Amino acid sequence: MNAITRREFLQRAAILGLSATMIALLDGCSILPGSTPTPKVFRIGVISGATRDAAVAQRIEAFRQGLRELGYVEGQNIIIEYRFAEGRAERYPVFAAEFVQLPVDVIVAVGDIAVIVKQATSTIPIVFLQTSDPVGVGLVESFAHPGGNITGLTSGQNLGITGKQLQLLKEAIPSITRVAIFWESAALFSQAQLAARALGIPLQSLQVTTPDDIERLLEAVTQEHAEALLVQSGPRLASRRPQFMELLAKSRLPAIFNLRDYVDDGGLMFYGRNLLNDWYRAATYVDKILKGAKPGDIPVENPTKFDFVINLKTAKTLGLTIPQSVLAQATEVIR
Amino acid sequence: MIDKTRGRLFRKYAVVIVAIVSGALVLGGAIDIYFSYRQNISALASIQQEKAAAAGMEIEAFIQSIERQIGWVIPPPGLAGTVTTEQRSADYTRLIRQVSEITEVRYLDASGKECLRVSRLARNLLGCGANVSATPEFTIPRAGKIYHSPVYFRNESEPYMTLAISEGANAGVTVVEVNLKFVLEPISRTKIGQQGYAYIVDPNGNLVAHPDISLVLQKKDLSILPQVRAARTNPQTNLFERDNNTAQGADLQGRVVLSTYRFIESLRWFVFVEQPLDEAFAPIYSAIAYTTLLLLAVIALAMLASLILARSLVTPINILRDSAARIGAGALDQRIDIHTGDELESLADEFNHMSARLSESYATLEQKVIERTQQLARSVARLQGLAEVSQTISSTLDLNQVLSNMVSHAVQLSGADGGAIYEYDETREEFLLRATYQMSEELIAAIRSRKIDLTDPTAARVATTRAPVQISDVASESDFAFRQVYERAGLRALLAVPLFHKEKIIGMLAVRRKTTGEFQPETVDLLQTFAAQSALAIQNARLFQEIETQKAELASWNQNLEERVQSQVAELERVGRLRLFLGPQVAELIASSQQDLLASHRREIAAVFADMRNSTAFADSVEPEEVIAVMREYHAALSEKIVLHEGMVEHIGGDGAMVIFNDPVLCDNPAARAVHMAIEMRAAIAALQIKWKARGFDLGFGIGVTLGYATMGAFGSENFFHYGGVGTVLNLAARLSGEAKDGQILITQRVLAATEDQFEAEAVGDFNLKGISKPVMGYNVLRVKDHLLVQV
Repeated sequence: MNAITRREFLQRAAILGLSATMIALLDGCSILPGSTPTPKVFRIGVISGATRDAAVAQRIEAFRQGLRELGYVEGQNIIIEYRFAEGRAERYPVFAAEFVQLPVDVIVAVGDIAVIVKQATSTIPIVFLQTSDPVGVGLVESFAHPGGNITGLTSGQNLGITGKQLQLLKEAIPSITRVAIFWESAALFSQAQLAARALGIPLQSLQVTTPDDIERLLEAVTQEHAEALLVQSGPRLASRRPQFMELLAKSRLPAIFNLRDYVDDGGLMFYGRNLLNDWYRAATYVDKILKGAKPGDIPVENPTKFDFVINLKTAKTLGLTIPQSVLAQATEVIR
Repeated sequence: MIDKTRGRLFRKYAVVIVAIVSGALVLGGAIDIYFSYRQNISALASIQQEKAAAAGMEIEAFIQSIERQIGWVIPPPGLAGTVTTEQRSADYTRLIRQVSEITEVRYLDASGKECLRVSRLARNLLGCGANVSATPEFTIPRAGKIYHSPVYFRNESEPYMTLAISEGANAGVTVVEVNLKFVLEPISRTKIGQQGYAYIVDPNGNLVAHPDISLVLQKKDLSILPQVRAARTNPQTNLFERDNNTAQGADLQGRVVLSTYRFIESLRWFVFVEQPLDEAFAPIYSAIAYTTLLLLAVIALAMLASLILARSLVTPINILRDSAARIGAGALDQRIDIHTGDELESLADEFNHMSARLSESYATLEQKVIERTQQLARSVARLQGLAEVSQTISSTLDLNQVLSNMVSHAVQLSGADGGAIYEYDETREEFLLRATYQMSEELIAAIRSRKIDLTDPTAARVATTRAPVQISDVASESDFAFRQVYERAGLRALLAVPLFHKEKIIGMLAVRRKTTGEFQPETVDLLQTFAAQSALAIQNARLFQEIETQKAELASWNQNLEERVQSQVAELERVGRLRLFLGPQVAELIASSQQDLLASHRREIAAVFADMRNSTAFADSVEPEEVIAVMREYHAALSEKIVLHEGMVEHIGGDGAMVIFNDPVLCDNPAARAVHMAIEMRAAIAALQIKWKARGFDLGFGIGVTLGYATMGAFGSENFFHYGGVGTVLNLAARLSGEAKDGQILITQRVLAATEDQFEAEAVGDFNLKGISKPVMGYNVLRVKDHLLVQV
């Protein structure tokens, strides 16, 4: 009809503007309650001192499972890098440096590797697992407040289960008068010493410094006439587990381990932490850190559950009869 | 002026609609939000309270279940002392295996010594050791209650509680270390919304359990939180006063939370169920947000709708307004196109009707104007023609010229093909052709040859009706005299208009047309006007003729008159001279050519002789000039009365006068007249006498009146004659007068008899008069009888 007058034009513009704002608001409203931030792809670096054998793979799987359950999808929002030192301690700093270079958003370190990693970086968060005495080795300030950029889960060894292990050994084979201890961590060794003194059992110390040392150490055991072994396994020993178990089987010595893998491989007894739980729990730590929590504020956890596994097959092979009282305490028995 | 109001209606509607709708929405939304808020809060509080109650119960149940488990390893009171350490150790081992929450079990014997320890972590101990009989873990169970220790932390990070249950009154006590990390379970399961959680604090405000175990391990002291502080200050344990323990507090991050707690009596723990206020109110906030958005959206919609609505309302009105403006500006072919199906549409239709009618009437008006203009033009032309004609009429008296001019104009202005003017000759009683225009010779000849008199039907009609006569088609008029001639000339219609003056027909104006049909009324009117003008012209000419004739007559009359006047004047002179000698009556009488009167004739007359006494003596004693003056006065007074009473003076001389009545002019009762005059004379002279007396003149006056026959006539010759009378009556009058004393009027018996009823008289006596044989009885007239007094 008429040409559009300025007034009409302004009216139409106002209508359009309103509609647009409306739509935009509605649009924005829909994302008001829970805004999903754009997913960033996180890099997780895992350094293990052992070899990637079945047992380790299981634990790693538990870790991944934990992460999956927390909503992380590998390839979409996380990428996990693995480094296995296979017993070679000199590789630790190399791996640490690599992860620092990459860089990764969080490093998961097993055992004492955490110490090396802590030296390598003070900014990248570190989660340790299977560490026995984090305070003692200087990883954390306290369990409640780790401080710094590092936190994690302990193996529970520091709670004094070394003594328990010794006690169980003695209870299972009352005739034992002499025990040899394979150890890698000094803290555990001192605990064992205390326990041995309390029980009145002399303790032979066998420190595993390199994986190649195993054969020699086992020889030393037989030479010293130890009647049983207390094995505090570390990464070096763990990397040579098959070889160790083979030799042990030959020596026909009863042993109590702190790592369940050994019992599965033929060891007599195991008392300690279920590591699958630990790795599963580690995912929670990683999650918290990736969500922005400071590692220094996440307390270090001790385990609450301990497993006591007895391999009756081995007992039979060794010709041992495990007393009822000990059997009663077992959480699992391998027949 | 249009632009000022443009958009106002629109804005008005839009604003009103938006205001109403928005207002309603805002109000509704606000009320809704308010009530929703209230409901939410109370709902939240209820939920929290339920959850707190549930959590509290669960924790109590948890602890109680542990206590029950512990019960398994406590021998019945009867068998208390019979249980061996090994048995007990085995029992304890199983317990530990069974109940993961229990880290350590110890046995204190009846004296309070620690005699057995089975530990998950530490070495087992057999054999009695330390004496802890003073500790509450021994004393309280022995008092009969289950001992719940305050929460302590192992390794400064793990919460533990010691439970101690006695086996009997004086029996031992089983002490159990419970790892409170497992309290996490029920606490973690307690959820409110997304961010709500539960936690437990001990009486000191230390965190016992929390979904985030790290906080517990950190041994957080939550007594700083307001809600914890409040709870510790005044623990509300009344289950029926649940609302009292819901309050707003703060969490460790400082966020405001809605917090409810439950106080577990047996453990003296506080179970808190909290939810960040933001989340708690999130539904409200989101409700508000949604409501606000909805409001905005609906307001936007309302604005949109109102704009559309207002536009739909206003646009037709604007269309109407604009169209009306255009129609008003003159574009009458505009049609308004509105199809809203409501009153506006019908209004638009009405507008269109109006516009259509306007344009129709406009067109009609235009047409009419055109017609009128044409008419006017014609009228103007006609008027001009008429004016010219009038001018012609007034400029020349040549009738033929005038009529020719007239007929030519008439034919031209009426759009006819020819015309003629006839003059009616009254004497010959026929219409004579006087002027023609555009007529063929044949027609003229035909008309001239024929006598058009009142027998001619057309002429007759014209003459009798004195109205225009039309013949629309000569072919159909069988009695039309010139039909064939007309047809030959191609003429078919005729209009004849009479010329008349003062009801008399003086001519005819006829126009002819080649086309058949009636002549238009205005043509007829026009021709009538011309006719009138022609009549006028003819009349004028006639009048002029008359004037000329009359002028000639007048001239001759004039001549005649002059002669007659001259003779009359001479006559008058003669009569005038006569008058000098005769009394006016006589003169007039003669003038009126009654010449017979001059001959003597006998008539009965009344004679009055008035005479002065002592006049001779007077004349002798007074100067002549004075005598003349007196005489003049005397004669003047007498003359006056004579003339007044129309008497004829027979003669006046000296001091006396003889007056005659009834000759030459006849009158009735001459005696009465005479006496009347005498009385008045007497009175007049009496007045004079007073004056004379004053001057010293003593004069008397007397009158004698007689009645009788005398011979009257002119005596003398041609050049000089005297009209008078001879008779006794005259003498008697004179003699009687001589006998009268001063102031007397003597009359004879005869006079008395004739006038007795009019005058009062007294007898005076007989008189013997000279020349009269017998004595005459005389009477003196005194006065007029009263009843006859007449004003003079």
